[in-house]
Amino acid sequence: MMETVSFGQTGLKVSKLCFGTMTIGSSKWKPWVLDEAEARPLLERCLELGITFFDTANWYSCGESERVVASTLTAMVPRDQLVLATKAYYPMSDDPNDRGLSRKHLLSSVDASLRRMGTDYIDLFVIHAFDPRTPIDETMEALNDIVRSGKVRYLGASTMFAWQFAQMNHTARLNGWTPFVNMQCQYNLLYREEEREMFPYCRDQGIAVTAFSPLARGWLSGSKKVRSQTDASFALFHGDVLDLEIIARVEAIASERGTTMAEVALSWLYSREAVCCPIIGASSISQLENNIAAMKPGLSRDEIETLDQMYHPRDVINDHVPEPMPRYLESQ
Amino acid sequence: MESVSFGRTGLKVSKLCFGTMTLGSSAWKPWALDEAESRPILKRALDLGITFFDLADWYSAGIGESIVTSALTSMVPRDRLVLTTKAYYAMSDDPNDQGLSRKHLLRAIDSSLSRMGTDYVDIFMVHAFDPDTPIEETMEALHDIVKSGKARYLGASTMFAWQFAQMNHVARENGWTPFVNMQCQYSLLYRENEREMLPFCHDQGIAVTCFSPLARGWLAGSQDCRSQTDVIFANNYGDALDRKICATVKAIASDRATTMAEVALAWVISKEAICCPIIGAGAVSQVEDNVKALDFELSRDEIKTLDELYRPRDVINDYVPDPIPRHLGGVQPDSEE
Repeated sequence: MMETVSFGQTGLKVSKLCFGTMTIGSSKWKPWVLDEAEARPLLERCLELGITFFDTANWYSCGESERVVASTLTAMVPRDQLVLATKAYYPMSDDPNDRGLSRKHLLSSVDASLRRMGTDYIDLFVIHAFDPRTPIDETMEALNDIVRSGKVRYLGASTMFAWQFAQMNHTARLNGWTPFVNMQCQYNLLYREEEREMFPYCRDQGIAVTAFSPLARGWLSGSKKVRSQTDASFALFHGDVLDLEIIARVEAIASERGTTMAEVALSWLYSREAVCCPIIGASSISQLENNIAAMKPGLSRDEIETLDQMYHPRDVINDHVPEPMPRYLESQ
Repeated sequence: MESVSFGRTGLKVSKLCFGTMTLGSSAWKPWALDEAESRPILKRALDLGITFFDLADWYSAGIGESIVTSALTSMVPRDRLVLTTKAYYAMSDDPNDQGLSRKHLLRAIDSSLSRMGTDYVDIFMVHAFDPDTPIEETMEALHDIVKSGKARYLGASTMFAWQFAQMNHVARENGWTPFVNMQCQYSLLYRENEREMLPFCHDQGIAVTCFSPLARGWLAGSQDCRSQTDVIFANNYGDALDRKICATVKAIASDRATTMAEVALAWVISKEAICCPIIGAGAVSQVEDNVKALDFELSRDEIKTLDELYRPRDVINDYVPDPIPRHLGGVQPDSEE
């Protein structure tokens, strides 16, 4: 059965794996998204395998993800046995007030999410990114009011610079408002920039780290054509020569062990103490089962070192760095 | 020389700060200048309008503080100067004679004042982050030092942005004095502070001072660029990308008929995030050359050419003992020469 872990320094317990639901909602949103009928067996299998922690966002399938995920899950298990996360920040319409972290948007956003999810509370309400155009005080006070109102149990944040996150929590503490207990960030063998500032900060503060993109958008499962022209591939954030070298090492270890690249990459992630819960996605039951099977300590110390030592600093990936570039210059 | 506001404080400082690690005692390091050689350099710095001098207890094991302050205060009234000093690095074998404990900080400020022969420092700085002392202890001790009148303002140097933010947060949460200054390494070869530290300081109105604007001489052309890369990198610089940036600085210097140092310093001066570059000098002529960079303006295109070469690299601080060269994607470091 799946392990249950404490969520940072909170009293909340979550399944060690969180299921990310960007792939669930409506195929009209993106062609790779599963509709309700296909999503149901997948979510059912998650529950059977012991996952109780599910991550969605208002923006995924324009709200459909929240509706499908929550209604499907609550039809199968009591609401209180689930830990449901959702998010706000990205535009939900053309209305300039229907996005960002203003008081106006956050208060209507949480109500809209609750309505779509058919529940009267969210376990973890996550701001999807930092909003440089809203004063931090405004955001943190609105979030505190949402928690006090009972609509949300805990607060989390995603993808921002460490100083921004620290500043938001500082503002909350200065004012006696609710601080964030969770940081959700991108982390995998090809992207480890959060090791510099964010992870040490979260560790110091007892903040639970959840990690998305454990397979680097498929690069680490071998599903990207690694031999295609490098700079064009890098438009998708990965694919420079060093990434390819790391991928080759994952492939070599997978082949020695007679397993898949995905299993090696996920096992590496599982071994990282800084990460409370990896967030895994899946678009089929077999993928889900494979991903879950891989989430165990399995790599030797030497294998981990072989994978670790190739990493070198690279450009940050977030909305404020519109075009990350490869690490090198010469092959251009 | 221009006077600038020091971040969001009321303090005014000269645009260039003079760093004094090279002044003190040649018994400390072979390249450190003794008092007699130091005086003309300090005099020239004053003549050229520099009023902001950066010291540390650790430089020449305290002798730096003595000779720099006595030379300066014999030439101008103490109140006309903005003097910093720092504490953190070990001053003896005593485990309490280092770090950011209350015990060490209170002793450190008194020792510095007594060596400097003054009753206050303008900016008292923590030289690095001390993971073995609770932040509350450090910030309360620093606040007490400020309230006692021994320091006017507080600054910090070389640490991660989250540590610096956390220290200031602790100060604010307790009504203690926060830091108004971050002194960090910044040059064309080392721009890692652009990611977190400089935006944080901008947001908070904290004055950024930067040391090593010439990257230990690499950007002045004084390091041998052709020697073996990994050995060079033991001094943090010299991978293929560093050398490419140096070559670009050299090309611009040659176009503009000036020195590499002037180009590299003008680039730092052009950065709005930097309040005051800290310049060092081992000779009077070096002070003069550095000050000249204030009047040398790079074109927008030249700045862009210099900017776009940089790629992320390992952090340089006490917690990353062995920064390694960048991986350049299969290009051998020496193959491009």
